[in-house]
Amino acid sequence: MTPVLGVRGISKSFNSVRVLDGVDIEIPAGSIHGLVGENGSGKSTLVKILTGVYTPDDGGTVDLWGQRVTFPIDAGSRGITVIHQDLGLADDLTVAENIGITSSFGTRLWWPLSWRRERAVVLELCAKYGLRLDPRARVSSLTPAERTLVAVLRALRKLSDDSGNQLIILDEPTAALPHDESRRLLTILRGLADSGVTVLLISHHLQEVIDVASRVTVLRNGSVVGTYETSETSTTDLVEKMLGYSIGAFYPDRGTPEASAPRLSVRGLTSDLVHDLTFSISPGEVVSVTGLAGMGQDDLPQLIYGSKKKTAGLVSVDDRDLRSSIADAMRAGVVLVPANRHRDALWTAGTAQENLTISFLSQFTHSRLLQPKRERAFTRRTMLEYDVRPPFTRQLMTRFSGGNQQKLVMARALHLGPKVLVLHEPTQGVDAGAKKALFQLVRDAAAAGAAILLVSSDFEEVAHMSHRVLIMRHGRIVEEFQQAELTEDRLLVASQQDTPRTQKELV
Amino acid sequence: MAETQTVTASNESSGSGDPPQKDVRESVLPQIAIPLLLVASFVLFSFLAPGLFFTGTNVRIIIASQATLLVLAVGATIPLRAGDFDLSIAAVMVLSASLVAAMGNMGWPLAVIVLAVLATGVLVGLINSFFIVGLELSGFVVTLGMLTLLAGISNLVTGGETLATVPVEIRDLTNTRVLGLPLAVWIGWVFAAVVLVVFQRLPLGRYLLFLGGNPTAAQLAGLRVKRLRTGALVSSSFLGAVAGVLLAGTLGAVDPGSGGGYLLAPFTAAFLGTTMLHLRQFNVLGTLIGLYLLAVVITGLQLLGVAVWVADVFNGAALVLAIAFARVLELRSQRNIRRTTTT
Repeated sequence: MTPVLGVRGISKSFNSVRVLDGVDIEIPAGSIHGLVGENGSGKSTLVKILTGVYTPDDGGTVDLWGQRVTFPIDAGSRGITVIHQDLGLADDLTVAENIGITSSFGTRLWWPLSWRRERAVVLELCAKYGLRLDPRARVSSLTPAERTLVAVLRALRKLSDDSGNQLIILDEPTAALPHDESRRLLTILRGLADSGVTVLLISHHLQEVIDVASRVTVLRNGSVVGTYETSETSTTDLVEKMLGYSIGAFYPDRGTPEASAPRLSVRGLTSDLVHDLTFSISPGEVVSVTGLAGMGQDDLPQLIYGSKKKTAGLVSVDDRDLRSSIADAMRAGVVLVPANRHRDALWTAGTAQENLTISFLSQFTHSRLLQPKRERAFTRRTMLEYDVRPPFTRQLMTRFSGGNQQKLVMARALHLGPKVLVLHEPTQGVDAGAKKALFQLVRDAAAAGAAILLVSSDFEEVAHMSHRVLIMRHGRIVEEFQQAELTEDRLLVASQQDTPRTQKELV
Repeated sequence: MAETQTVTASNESSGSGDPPQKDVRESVLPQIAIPLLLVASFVLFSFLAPGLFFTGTNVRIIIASQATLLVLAVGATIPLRAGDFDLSIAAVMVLSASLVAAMGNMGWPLAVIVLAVLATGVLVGLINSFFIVGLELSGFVVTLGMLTLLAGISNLVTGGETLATVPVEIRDLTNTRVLGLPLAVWIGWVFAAVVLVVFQRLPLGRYLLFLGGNPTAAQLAGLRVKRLRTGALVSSSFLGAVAGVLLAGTLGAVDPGSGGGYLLAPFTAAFLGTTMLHLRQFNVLGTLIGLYLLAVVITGLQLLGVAVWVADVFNGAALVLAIAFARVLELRSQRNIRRTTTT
């Protein structure tokens, strides 16, 4: 049987930097094929070539349904479509309206359209793929998985109008979904594949890829590491292939904090989103708080840092109670690395130097006047020390990669000599190399005696970095894990234990 | 990406020595565009109006005529740098001038008049801050209201008439010649120099800049955001009051309805100034050069006998063109960024 997609020797360079290098992929009809790799490994470039956004370098070929295609690929008429994480649905419109809109409702601009027929089309699509959707339902009333489904049906309708061939590329479809919803979606994808639709699934959730796809291709630095049968691989296996080295080497040894009086203690902390949180962290200890999205843990960093007012409870550092104010928290040695660095940590139109030194500018003054040379020398030294690349003190923040931006944010935080370091999603949008460096910095800060509170939704880093982990559900701490009992899977299971529906039908 | 990789190679070997320093700021032309325009228009008018424009007297007149406006423009630059708008300073100036004339009419002592007027400026700034910083209302709207309110009070104070009762000491003092220029000019320059030092050499200037760039990040980085914003708004109002005293002194008579004429120019000058030094950053030097550029062009046009309405058309157009120019430069530098950092 001819494969649906045959990619051979595809390369792509930008400004003489090769981002894709001789990529080969083959996908048989009616299968789900996984595509995994770190940020910057070339996944999105490959997708953009398949959808005709980019023209690849000379030399490679792409076959679709056994036919050699020319570049740029006319994706629509060739039967390829991408569904991005942002689904592009109009929330206030109905399912039928959303599904019809890209197919011009089967009519022309000035011609009347028949809603009865539109609804019938939707029901027919649903019947074909064994799904249930009310065409009259508003998209805003649907669950996240059902919304993705609407986007998929819309794409399928468009494709069957155009060519009859159907290859759907799903880019991180489950990234924003709660666990049970993503399970549902994956079950549905399986159903689609069984009825002949071919799916290329891009996801950071490796377990999902293994569960649902039949084969998976791993990209690293623009090259294919290999394509594997999912029945013969594991998440650890895939991670090591993505990174190029073993995961054990990725996280620093976490050491053992000396038993001592707690540095940070939180008692009965309450706000509109969290309820009665009580925990403490000793010097040198890394304690993580995690949970599913929206369980209140994201409120914690700002409550401790004083940038959000608590409604009840006590936060104290070395037995001194803090008021709900940033100034008081800073005086007590609390330092925050916020989650959204562009919004909360950086002045992106400013330079590396201006962003680094803003929290301690007065250190570079002599009789109140700034000493530019001293400030510059400090910045340069710090950038080299933290391996910020390029180490240009006057380069604008926007020109640094996410990882290098975060290194600067971390450098600023650590220069304040924190007693309590609050890290909120510290590695979001950061490449693997920088991640590794950031973890080492966190480790060093802990070794220097800081109490570290890591609030993160990345179960992997939580499992590998922490001495203790607190799981939050619906604004409360519901479970605590010690270092010895930490695994990613356990955290995942504990996070979603009380979710109402659990689906086991997935093979 | 490309940049990162080229650097890595040269960086690894230079652990102790200086890392490669590349000036990555925007090209020089946009930064000197406004000073160039100032020189160009000066030369142009010298040729177009020979014997009239490029004379010591005329240059002195241009500089002297800008003394009050200069203080006003520097004042407007302070909240702008911190990300706030204070449209009311022109009205503060007219109110202050009106108070000087009215109190002079009542025969109050000089020191009391000056102190009362400056205190009024601070008070207006505090009221503005209460609404803008305290209640987090739009500064643009609040100061627009304040502008009209103060214009009304100016009319109340003067009875709606032009008052020529400015105390003679203030008139004499501001018009005293020092090195050929009225003292008012020197006072303006001193205030500008003070703000210049604050902006460029004190941490405070950087705080304002960071705050204007990203208030949320500024707060989380530990800056006292509310104090800084309040300070900026009070400073601008205070400078508005200083400008009022200078205005009363240099003109000798105060027209309570003259505020509209001073509304726009400070902002035009400040926005022209953002194309200098660092892009999109309000700075004193830029504001000054922007202001003198406006003055040179308008005086030149008047000497050529162009009708009076041209000044307003020019001021308005210059403001829009100034922000458009800054925007074009910004877009261009963003395009450069995209070109150098493809992933």
